[in-house]
Amino acid sequence: MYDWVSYPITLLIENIFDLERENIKNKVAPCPFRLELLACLERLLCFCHTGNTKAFATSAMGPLNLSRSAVADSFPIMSKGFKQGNITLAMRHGLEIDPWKWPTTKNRYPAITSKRSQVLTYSEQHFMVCKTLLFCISQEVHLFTCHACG
Amino acid sequence: MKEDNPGGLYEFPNSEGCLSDKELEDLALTSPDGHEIPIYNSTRGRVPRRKIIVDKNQPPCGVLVDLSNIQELFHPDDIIDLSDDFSDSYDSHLINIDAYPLAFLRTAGNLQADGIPPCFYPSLTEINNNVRKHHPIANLNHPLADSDSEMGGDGGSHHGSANDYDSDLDIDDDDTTPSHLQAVKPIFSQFYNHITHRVASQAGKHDSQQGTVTVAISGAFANTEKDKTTASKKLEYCDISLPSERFHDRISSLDVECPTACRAEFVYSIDLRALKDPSGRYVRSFSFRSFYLIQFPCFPPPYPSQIHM
Repeated sequence: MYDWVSYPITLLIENIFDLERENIKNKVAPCPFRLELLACLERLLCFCHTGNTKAFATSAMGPLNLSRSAVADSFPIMSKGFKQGNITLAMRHGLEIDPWKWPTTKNRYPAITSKRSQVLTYSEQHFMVCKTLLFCISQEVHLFTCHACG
Repeated sequence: MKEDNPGGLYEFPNSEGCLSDKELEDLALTSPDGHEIPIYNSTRGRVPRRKIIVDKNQPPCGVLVDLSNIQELFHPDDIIDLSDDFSDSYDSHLINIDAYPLAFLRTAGNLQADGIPPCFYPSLTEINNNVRKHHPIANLNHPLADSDSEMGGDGGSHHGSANDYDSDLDIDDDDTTPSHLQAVKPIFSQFYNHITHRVASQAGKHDSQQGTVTVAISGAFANTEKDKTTASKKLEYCDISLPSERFHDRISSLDVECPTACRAEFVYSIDLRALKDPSGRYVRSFSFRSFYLIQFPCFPPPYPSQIHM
């Protein structure tokens, strides 16, 4: 039963892992947004297995509707976050996340869900590297868009 | 045609003909690309084409708690009647319940509560009555009586002690009053499927709680040798098997029979001050009766063997 209900989540996790594993082999840095999405999906899977809502990081999972749908409707869904129109197309085209669609905090910084796992396994300094990269990409997109708009 | 086909007729697209409901069974279930050929009725509802087959050789599903009306278990409507007879065990505080729905089922899973279901109060009261200390009622007419000697006096005091009363006086049960202290008090309970012990060796060690895949991928940003080594190990761990696959292997292992029973654990606090005799046969009697409590109502064997104190 666990396999059935969590299949979409585990499938997406596997796809993201395979994609980033290939990037790591080719000495390419993982996409920070995909990393955060991966953390969201792992938290969702944790809720599926344990039933504990403390697994939710609502700053990101709330706007993405991952947490709300799982609790309210017992069927997790995900708001559009990829550059492609749906998850099926996104899986065929490299799961590119649109930075503009990624949830932000009140301070307009990208919401983060991977902090705890990184800090517990590595260190705070290690996490700051990923966080800085995430913020830089977000700022670049914002500045590029502002420049394009004139 | 309608009389000959009471079940209705199903028309092909582009008016290529029609089939009766009996002829539908002969129609191919899937198209050449593997997708099921959908069939709709006149109300645009999809006609189910697959039938459920139950394999009786498969082990039964695990037992979970029905969370839809879980408050009724801890706060039944007839609790007022219980409170009159078992006031010692009845605690009027609202029992806080934490529900943990599993597998996105929403209404089935595990639960924890800071109390026990009231159906166990009668047994708990019986235990308390058997093991709790009773104090003699003060008798002002007795030469050794004193209104302040309920709990026993100081050593050497002219008031005497409760033990003196027991040994020197022939005290009937009517001359005693139960201690205000509750010897056995329920403080916590949890209901969960026994398989939980298989998927995690201890709390917080579940495969899906570690964030292993995230840690493995984020290891690409490692700068120190220590972090790089850790990242390498995590990647190898995930290359062998992802956490979801490990979880699947744990619960579907064919080597050991997968436990499916629902397990209930109750936690009590024991006030030694309220016991008749903090050591000896009364404690052993209490242990036996507590084991009886955990067995009721009947759960499939094996019965929980440990008593959480």
